[in-house]
Amino acid sequence: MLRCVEFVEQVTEMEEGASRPLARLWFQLHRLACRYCRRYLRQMRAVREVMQAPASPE
Amino acid sequence: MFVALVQRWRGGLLRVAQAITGNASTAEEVVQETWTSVLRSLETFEGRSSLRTWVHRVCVHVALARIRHDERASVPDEPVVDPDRFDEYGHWREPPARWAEETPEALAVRREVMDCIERTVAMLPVRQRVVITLRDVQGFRAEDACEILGVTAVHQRVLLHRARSRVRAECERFYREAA
Repeated sequence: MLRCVEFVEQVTEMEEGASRPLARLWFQLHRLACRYCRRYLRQMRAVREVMQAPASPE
Repeated sequence: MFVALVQRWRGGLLRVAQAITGNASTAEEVVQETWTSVLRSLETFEGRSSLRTWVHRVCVHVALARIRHDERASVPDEPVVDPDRFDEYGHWREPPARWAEETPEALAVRREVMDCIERTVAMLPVRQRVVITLRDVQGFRAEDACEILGVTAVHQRVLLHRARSRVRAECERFYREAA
């Protein structure tokens, strides 16, 4: 079972889709089981999304 | 055509140059030097990446050449969350603090939070600052960020993870102090 201390180190790897299927499964199981890690993930996603500049014609 | 590109990409190049140099007027000079360099070496562009990615890569190289060598150090190998916040089993002892706003939309309208994020990004080590600017502010894909910075996919991801984690941590500190 993944531990919280490992979960926080794997967030970006998971979000980038760079992890192996088994690691992904452990991550998702932990996410379902731990509300604090769900909160951590939610906050990481929020800061990522809030930084996005308005769409430019680039 | 050339003038149109200079105008269209100016904002993005300035953001990247400022992320590296930390100075608006130096960033202006870097962008000018970037276009000079692009014109000089245009014949070496092989089309393996998009022209936009290639021009941003030139910009990063020009900007990195402007800053001191010791600011280009590699990523420190330390945990992104203080180990004291976990118990002996690796579970949260001091869990992430609840924020008054946790959606991007709610965060965006809170000026102090946006200022906190801006200040934190400005204080990140240079490569973390560039990666988070390219990926999260300008929306470049991971492959393009690797190409622009000349780093591997793993290194890019580590830099990005550290940068995002630091921004999250500073937002948490902000909400703790505001509570």
